[in-house]
Amino acid sequence: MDNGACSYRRFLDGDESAFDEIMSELFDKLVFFINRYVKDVYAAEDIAIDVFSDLLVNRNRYNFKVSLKTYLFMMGKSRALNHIKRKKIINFVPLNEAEAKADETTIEKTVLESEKKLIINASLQKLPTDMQTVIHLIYFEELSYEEAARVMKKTKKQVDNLLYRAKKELRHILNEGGEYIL
Amino acid sequence: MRTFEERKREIYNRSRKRIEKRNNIKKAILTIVPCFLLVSVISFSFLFSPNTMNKAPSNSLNDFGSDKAAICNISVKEINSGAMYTITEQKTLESFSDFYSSLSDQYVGTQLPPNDFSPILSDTKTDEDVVEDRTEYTKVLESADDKTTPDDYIPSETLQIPIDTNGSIEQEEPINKVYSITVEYSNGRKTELTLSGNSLIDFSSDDRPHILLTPSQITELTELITQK
Repeated sequence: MDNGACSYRRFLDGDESAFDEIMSELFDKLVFFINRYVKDVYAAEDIAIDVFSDLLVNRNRYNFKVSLKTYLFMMGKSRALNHIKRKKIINFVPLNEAEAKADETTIEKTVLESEKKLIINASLQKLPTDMQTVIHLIYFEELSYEEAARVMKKTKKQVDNLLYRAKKELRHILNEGGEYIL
Repeated sequence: MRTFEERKREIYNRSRKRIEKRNNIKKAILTIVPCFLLVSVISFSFLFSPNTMNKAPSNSLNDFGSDKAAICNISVKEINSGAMYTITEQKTLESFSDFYSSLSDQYVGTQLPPNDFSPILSDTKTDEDVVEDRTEYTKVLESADDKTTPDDYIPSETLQIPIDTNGSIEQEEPINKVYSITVEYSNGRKTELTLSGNSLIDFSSDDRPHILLTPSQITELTELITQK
């Protein structure tokens, strides 16, 4: 699995349908990941659209040194943080919260196929953002430690330590059941 | 949440807008930068042009020779009466360079075309001064490649510049008159020097009147003309 790199290569060679494949494979995952930062599924979707349009505009910026998924997640994280910064300055008018929650659940179910992951995700909200991110990237997105480290702009060792502490916290939240799930 | 198609459409729309924006910026840069450079070049050339640059006058006569700009006219205006005299026409700085080279020895004339500048003896000199000057001047003439005898050249504390008179000028002896000398260059620049004193213009020695300049006035005129 090359996480979209092969499809992107085909897209660069002129195969427009390859972009659809990339979108089908990575768009929802990206929205779900961004949502972990911005806590607003619509804003997350908007940011994901922005990331993908950036991929179209600057076609040669992605250099295939990392997987396309890692690259998109890196951009997504950076834009999500920018969005949070901006949000502190501009006061956003909240949308219909119930509708947003429903959409969030839908996308959550799309990305997290298994029941186990859904349970973990529910408990993740109680963890600090860094711990949420590392578990999200390693367990949900199945990125390697190196890739997760790139996205989070940390070293592999830091990611390892952070994951260890996050699991410990999560076990504590999940009580006995956590031991089995994790 | 948007559908897949809506998302895709939105992505393409945003991409197109961003590409358009980028192209507009490129276009603007390509328009503005050359204009800016052009304006800068014009401004700099204006600032550092000989006309506008406030350059200190050079004391070295050798510096002067490198400038080939033509002097169109040197005109003399007698301020008291308003009479105008034209001294030279279409002189080049190159020929003036020779003239000023000869001035550096405090003697005037051996290397100059006879019609332009020729030395005369000042009336204010004593006989002893003349003998002393002649001795020194003979040394100069010995090295000069000129068939004229030393007696034809008399060292002078004054420089005689022939004047082409226009209009009728009465052959009278002006006393304590003030003259304005204007040097007009071919590039349009004009410089002006005001001189005053007894017998500044000598009408008596020749049928062509001459300006008589003292060494200090020669220095002043040199500086005036060599000012760039």
